[in-house]
Amino acid sequence: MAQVCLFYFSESNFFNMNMVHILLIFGLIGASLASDACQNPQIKAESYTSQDATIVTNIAYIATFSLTCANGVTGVSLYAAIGDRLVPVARSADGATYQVSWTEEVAKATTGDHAIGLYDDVGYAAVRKAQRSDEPISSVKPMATIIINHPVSRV
Amino acid sequence: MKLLVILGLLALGTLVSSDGSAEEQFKVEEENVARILASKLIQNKYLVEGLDVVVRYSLYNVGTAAALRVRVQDAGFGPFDFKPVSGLVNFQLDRLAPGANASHTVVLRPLKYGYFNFTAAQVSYLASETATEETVGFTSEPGEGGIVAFRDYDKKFSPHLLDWVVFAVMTLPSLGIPFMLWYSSKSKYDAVIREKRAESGKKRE
Repeated sequence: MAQVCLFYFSESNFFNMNMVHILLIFGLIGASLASDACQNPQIKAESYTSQDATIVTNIAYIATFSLTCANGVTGVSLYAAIGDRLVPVARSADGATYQVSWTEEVAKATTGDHAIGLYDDVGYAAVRKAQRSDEPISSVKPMATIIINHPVSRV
Repeated sequence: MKLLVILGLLALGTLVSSDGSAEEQFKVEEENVARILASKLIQNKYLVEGLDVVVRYSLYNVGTAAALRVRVQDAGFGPFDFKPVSGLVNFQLDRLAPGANASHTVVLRPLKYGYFNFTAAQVSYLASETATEETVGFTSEPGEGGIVAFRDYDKKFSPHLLDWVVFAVMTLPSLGIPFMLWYSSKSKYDAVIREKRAESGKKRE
């Protein structure tokens, strides 16, 4: 009886230790994931569009911005939703400035505000999942949004 | 004769096998490697001094693995030749998935007119996750372009509003003087007619 009790005790102890280990591991993974993700992103953006349509064949829409995270994470990889595609966002060599840009033909260029959603790695995976189930990109909430305004294309 | 035939067959055999081995020698074993095609295009109809030049870099990964740390460096726009307006001339992408393409646009303004040679930008990337050495290549080269002086462009394309206003002012005398002469004689004639009507009216009374 005592032996059985001992056996059960040790078994339950073993399970307890295993659970603790598992919890610790998950906790560490969660903490590391949380620390990699950008908390409370602040974006300072500048945008430019080429307005002289006489000399160019394609109008350029460019937004350069810097990203500050509340938890001090730098070098975050970003993706931008342009049209119905996710494109990787270019970074400067020192990683401090990001740039989102695309071109449109003069005849098809649209004026007004263009809102571009920015996604980090987690958001990118969510968008790919949404695309696989034929849902629009807008169904996934972006990490941040920047707006590029194109006032006029002077021909 | 038999010897000749045998020798001939042997020669053929070695030829065929050497071709095969040459093929094998030059066959490149590529498994799960990224390959990036890069182009640099100037999206302009006219290159004008002091006006926007739109440069578009397109990267396309035709390989089977993702390209990591893709860096594009363009030293072809020196500070004495071009003024940067918007966009990063040297940039990097953390990851370009296989089969994916990315584009990057930069706007610059030429500071001088004349012929300018638009050179290729350098592209470097890690061809796989296990790669230690970077693969280096170049984008396509737009070639030589003629940058037109702003004065010549303006002569051809501006609305010339000031010129039209000056022209209107200059034509005013040649239209205004005959008009004034006509108007003064017309008003005198109207005054004479009014007096005659008034006199004839009084006479009837």
